[in-house]
Amino acid sequence: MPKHIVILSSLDTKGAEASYLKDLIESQGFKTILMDTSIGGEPALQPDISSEEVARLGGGNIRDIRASRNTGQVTPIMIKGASTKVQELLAKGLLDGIISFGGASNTTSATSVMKALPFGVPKLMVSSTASMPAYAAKYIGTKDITMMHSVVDISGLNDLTKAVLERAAGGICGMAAASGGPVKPVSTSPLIAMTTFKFAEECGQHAMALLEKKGYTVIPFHAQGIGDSAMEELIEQGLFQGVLDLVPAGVIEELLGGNRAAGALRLESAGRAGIPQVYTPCGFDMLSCGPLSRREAGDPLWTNLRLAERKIFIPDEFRVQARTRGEEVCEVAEVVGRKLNASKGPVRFFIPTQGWSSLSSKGADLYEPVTDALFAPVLKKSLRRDIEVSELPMELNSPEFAEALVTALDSMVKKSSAR
Amino acid sequence: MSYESKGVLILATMDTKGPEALYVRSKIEEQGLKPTLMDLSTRGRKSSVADIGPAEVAKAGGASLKLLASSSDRGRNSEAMVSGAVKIAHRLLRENRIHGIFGVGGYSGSLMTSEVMHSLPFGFPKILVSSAAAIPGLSTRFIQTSDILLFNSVVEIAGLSGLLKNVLDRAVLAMVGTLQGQVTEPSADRRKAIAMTMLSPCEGCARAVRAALEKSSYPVVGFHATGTGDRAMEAMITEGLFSGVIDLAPGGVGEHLYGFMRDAGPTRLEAAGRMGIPQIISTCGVNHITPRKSKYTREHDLRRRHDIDRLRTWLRMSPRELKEVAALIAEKLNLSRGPVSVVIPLRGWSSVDAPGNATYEPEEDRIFTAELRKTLKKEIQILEVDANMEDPGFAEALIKIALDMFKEVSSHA
Repeated sequence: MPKHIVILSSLDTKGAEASYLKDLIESQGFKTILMDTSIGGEPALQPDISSEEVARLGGGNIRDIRASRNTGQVTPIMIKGASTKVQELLAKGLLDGIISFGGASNTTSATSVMKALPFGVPKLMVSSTASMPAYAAKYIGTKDITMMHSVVDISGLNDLTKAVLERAAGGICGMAAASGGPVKPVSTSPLIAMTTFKFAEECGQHAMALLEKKGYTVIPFHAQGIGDSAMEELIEQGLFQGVLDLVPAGVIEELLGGNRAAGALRLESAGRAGIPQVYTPCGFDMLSCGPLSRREAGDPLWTNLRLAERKIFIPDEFRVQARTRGEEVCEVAEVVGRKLNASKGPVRFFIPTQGWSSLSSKGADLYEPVTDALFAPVLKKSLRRDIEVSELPMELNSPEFAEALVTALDSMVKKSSAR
Repeated sequence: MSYESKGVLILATMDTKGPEALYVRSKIEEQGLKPTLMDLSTRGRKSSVADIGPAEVAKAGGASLKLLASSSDRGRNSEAMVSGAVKIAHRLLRENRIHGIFGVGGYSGSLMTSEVMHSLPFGFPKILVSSAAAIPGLSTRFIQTSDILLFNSVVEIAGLSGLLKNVLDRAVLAMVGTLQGQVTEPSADRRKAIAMTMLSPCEGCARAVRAALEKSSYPVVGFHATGTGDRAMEAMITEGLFSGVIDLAPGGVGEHLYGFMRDAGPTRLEAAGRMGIPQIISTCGVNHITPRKSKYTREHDLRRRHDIDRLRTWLRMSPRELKEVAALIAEKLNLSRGPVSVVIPLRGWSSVDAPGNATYEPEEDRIFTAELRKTLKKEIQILEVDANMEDPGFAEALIKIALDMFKEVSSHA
C-alpha cells in the first residue's frame, strides 16, 4: 500500500507553491492528500479536503469565516477542523507524514494541527518565521515537530523557494518512507519515565543505573517545564510501565509563575493511566526566576514575591534560583496531594530530610531545613491514607536515597504487572 | 553527482553523546552515504573513535587539547572548537567531500553545532537534532538566519532507547531524502531579482506587487520581516544577490532601537544603500511595537492594541517613538549610494491599523512623515498615497514607482 503524506496549505494564496510541493512528493512515489486551510477565499488549486469541510469539522461555516475580518476568532475553528481530520486520516492509515509551509500565521495554525498527532509520526514545518524569538519554542511545544527555516518567504516559485521546497520534500519523503507510524511500546524491557535536572543529577544518574541493572529502560526528561510536559503526553500515549518523578518542580513553578512552570495538568497523566509512580519533593525548594536583569527591571515576579529578600543561588546570569517560603511549600503540598489522590495506580512519596536537591543540602546556598520541615505534615494530611509518605534522613543526591526510590518502584511495577 | 558518493558531516560532543553519534554514523552508512564524524568534546579528551577527533579540531581552532583540559572556561573552549570545526567543514566542502551536515546535541552541543552550520551557505542541507529545541529562546539562537532543519527530540539525548532511535532514524532519513532528490541551484537571476520584505498585515499589498513585477519578468524573493528574515535579506543583499529592494516592512529598525521582538539588528536598512541598488521603502508595522508579552510593563498594558492571532499582538507606538524612529530611518537612508523612494499610505500602514481598528491613528502617523521629510536628504522623495496599505490603490502607486526605478537602473547597466 502506498504511503500518504498530508499537505496543509492555504490554497487561496499558495496554490502554485503547494502544487509544486505536491508534484515533488508524488514523484517520489507517495500519495498526497492536499488539505486547504485557507480562510481568505476560493482555492487556486483543487484540494482533496476542502476548506468547507475543514470549517464544518471545526464547527464553523466557510462563508462566515471568509466574511469575518477577525482572524483571531476564525483561525481556531480551522485548526480544530484540520486536527479532527488529520486524526481521522491517521486512524484510517492514510497519514504517514505531514508537511506544511508558510509564514507566521500558517506556522501557528499548522503546528497546532501537527500537535494533534502522536510522537513518531513525521511532521515537517517549513517556516519563514522558524527563528523568531518568543514564537519558535511555542511552535514546537512538547512535540517532535521538525522545523525547517526557509529563510526566504515561500511566495512565488523562484530558484530560492524551489530549492527550499525540494529539500523539504526530500526530508518528509525520507522520514515517511520508513516510518512505522506512531511509536508503540515495542521494547522488550519495561520503560520507565524519569524527570531530572541539574540539581538532582547524581540522584538521577544513580537511579537510572540501578533501574537499568534491574532490566528497565529509563527515558529521562528534563524538568524545565517543556520536557516534563512532554513526558505527561507520552504517558498518555501508553508508552511507560512506571514513573520516577524525581523533579515535580513544574507544579510549584506553575503555582508561583516561575520559569519551569509545566502547565496545569502536570502530575496527572500517570495517575489517570494507573501506572506506578514514585515522587520526591525535589525542586519545591527553589523557584527559577532568571535572568538576573529581571531583578533590576522591577519584574512583577520579583516584586510580588519579594524575591530580592530571599536566599538566591546565582550560577550565571540566566539560571537564577530563589528559595521558596514556608507558605509556598505548604500550598504545593496541598496541590500535590489533590493531584495524586486522583491516581488509579499505586503511588509513593519519598522525602529526603537532609536536603531536597544539591541546592538545599547542608552548606548549600538554599539550605533551609526549617522550611522543608513544614512540607511533610501538610502532604500527609492532604494525601489519601493508602499513599505512603516516607521520610528518610539523608540527602536527595545520596546513593542510598536513589536505592530506596528504585527498590520501591521496582516492587510496585512487578506487583502491578503480575496483576 | 551520484547519491552514493555523497558525504555527510556529523557533529557531536562525544564525551556526552558518544553512543548516539556512533549510532547516527552507522545509520548514515547503512543508507549508502559516506559519513564523517567530528568530535567537538570540549573537555580535552584525548581518545576518540570519531573520524576527526577533538585534538584535530582544537588544533584547527588554534588551541590544544592540553590547553582545553586545563581551562575551566567552557565558553572559551567551545569557541576554539567551533572555530576549528568551521575551518575543517569548509575544507571538506571545498574538496567536495560533504553534501550535508548533521548535528545531534543537548544545550551546549546544539549551540556549537549550529554555529558551524551558520557558516555554511544557503541551500546546503543542515539537520540538527536537539533536546533543547523547544526551550524558549534557544531554537531562535540555533537557527538564526540559517536554513537549518531543527528536529525536537522530545526525549533527552542520553541512552539509545527505542524512542531516541526512532527520532534519530527519522532525522537520518530526512537527510537521505534530501540528498536523493534533485535540488535547484539556489542562484537567483542576479541581474533582475528583487528582494521584498513583508509581514502578514501587508500580505495583500505584497501579493499585488509580486504579481506585477513577475509579469514584467522580475523574480521576487520575499522575506518575512520578523527580525530574522529581514536580517537574512540584508546579508544576501550584501552577497550581491539582488538588483533592487522593496522594503514594505522596515519595522525592525524601531524594534532594534527599543529591543523588541522584531529586532533586526543594528545594520538593518543599510545593505541596499551600501550596494547602491534602488530601494523602495514603505511603512508596514513601523508604527507598532511588539514587546514580548511576558515583558510588558504597566505602560504597555495601557496602550492601544490589536491581536493578530493567539501569539501575536501589536501595540501602538507613541508619538515620541514615531519621531525617534523616523530620524533613525532617515539617517540610514541618507547613507544610500543608489536611488531611494519612500511611499507612505495615509489611511493606516497595514491591515492591523486599518480604518475602524483600535490602532488606526492617521494623524499620529503624520508625525513620522514630518520628521522623515525634515531629516531625509533632498534627493529622496516621499510619496503619500490616500489609501490603506492593503488597498489596491496603494499597491498600484508603489508598483508604478518600482517599475520606473528598476527599469532606469537596468537600462543604465
